[in-house]
Amino acid sequence: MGSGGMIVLDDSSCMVDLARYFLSFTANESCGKCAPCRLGTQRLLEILTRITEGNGTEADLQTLEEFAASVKSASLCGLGQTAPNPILTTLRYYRDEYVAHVRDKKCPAKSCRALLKYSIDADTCKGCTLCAKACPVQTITGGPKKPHVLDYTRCIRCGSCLDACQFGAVHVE
Amino acid sequence: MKPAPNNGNSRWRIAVGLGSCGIASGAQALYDQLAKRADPQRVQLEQTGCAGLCHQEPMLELYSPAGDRFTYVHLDLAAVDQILDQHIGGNAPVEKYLLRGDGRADGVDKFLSKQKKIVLQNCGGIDPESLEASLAVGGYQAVRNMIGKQTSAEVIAVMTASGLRGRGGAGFPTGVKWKFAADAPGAQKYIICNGDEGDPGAFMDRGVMESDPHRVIEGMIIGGYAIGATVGFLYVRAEYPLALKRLGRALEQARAAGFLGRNILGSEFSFDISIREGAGAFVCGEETALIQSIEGERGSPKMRPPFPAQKGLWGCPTVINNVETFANIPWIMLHGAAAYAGLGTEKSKGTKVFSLAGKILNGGLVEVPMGITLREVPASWKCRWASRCGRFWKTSAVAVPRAGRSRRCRPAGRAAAAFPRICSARALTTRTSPSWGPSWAAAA
Repeated sequence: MGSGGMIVLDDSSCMVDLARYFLSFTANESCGKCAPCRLGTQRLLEILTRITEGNGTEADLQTLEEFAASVKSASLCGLGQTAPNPILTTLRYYRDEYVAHVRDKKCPAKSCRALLKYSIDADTCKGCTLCAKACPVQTITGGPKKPHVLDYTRCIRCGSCLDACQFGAVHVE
Repeated sequence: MKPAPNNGNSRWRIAVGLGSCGIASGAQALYDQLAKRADPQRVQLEQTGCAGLCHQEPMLELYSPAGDRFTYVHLDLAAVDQILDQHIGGNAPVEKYLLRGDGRADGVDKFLSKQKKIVLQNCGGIDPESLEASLAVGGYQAVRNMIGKQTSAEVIAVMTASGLRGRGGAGFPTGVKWKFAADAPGAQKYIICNGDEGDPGAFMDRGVMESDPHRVIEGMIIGGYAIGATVGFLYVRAEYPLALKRLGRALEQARAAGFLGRNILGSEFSFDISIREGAGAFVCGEETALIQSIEGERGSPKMRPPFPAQKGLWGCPTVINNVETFANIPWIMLHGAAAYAGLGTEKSKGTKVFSLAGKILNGGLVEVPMGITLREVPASWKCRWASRCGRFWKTSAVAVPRAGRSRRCRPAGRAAAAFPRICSARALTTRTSPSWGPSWAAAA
């Protein structure tokens, strides 16, 4: 942030989610005195949340950009004036990630849960049953030494099967 | 870190790092164990603050009676016995816990090599709760040199010539701000230190307040003298209990020693500081909101102008500077404006402290000259980390002092090209209007 805090991220961090995190921070911390910041940060946060949940559209990206510019120029103090920066810079340098979220409904960093799709590779699966035991919603079926199958329509994307699998048979997209 | 002498001591000296980072990783238990086990006849046990190597905590420094210095890192309770028995008892360093020099796998040397410590000069080297320790490394020397020997206009001239700019993020020239306040009419003037550090991932000010509180106080005294203030406030967020405790203790000590209070060092100058705790609102790091908070009002920002330097706390001329800004000031007064202006770039002088967090190997505090490239700041982190975990450094999200432009994300690939210099002239001057930047960002 502005005063010298530096946070290093790697390719497992989703830039859209990062922007959403910073906006949730500034939206929470907005004092409410001026409307651009009070309302603007909320609306920006809503759009970002929508995108990370897989409900964003390509039109959202333009709205974000325009809206962020307004909040930046119209806010009373530095909190509002800098609040949209995470959006503007991630849009500038990581636009492809936004596009993947809204167009392909995919999170390249595999971090936005709503956009993940888990599956089990039948060839790699040894049928050890660990994933089926770990699954909290019993969406994995299959017996011992038989390839397991994951019904992703009921999957809550908790990642338990991924952690449980010893053979790298669980895939995430 | 600068090697500290053993003060001509015939005993072994152990200094345990007890900053928030050390305590969080268990240093207090180590300290207690050492206090229980070490023979006070042979071992002098001390606490110290954060040395910046937060990723190595808990750590301690051991000084032999001969003056040799050993840094032990990643300690556990078993290490205490080994160090006492094997090193102090048998004069054989415990290799397992020793911070080695060249070739250490996680590149601590590289981490340290680019650094130039001004603000963090004493952090991790002295006991933050001891006035004597501070005095021994030149604490309050700048105040002694100044009072009765320099006029306030001369002090402001030094600040202006040094090129020091506010370290909270907005980058307003400190000397200019002081001059505004000094020239503003009014019998009562105030000086405020902004310690309401609230940015996610930032802990520079905490490190300074916890590890070298007297330095911040000394900077405030110099500021008070320069603008003609008699009262100062240290506004520190309540989430920093250790900083509050150590600052409170330091204030008492400074008062008892005559550096604060009526007729400081026998002069006409009277100045005292009290602490105000922030109640946890991020916006109170913005200077006008901070002023309202001290006044007992709800913390919300005001339109500027009037700027606080003209009409601030209770309508009186007020200077608000960031903790790091104040911590630079004693060094500038002692070493001269030219020495400070010799560091950094044309428009951004001196050094800047960064807190490194996130997915890096060497998290902690670094202080580097302005103008260094982003890749050089963390030195070894990117490659080390990538090779170890097979991941790529994606970005250093968040960033560096750019007035009114905080919270930016920079991709690693562009760090060298599009973003060649941190805090370069452009970085600190891209303020769009005189409505100076945020002050959690603490203005200048």
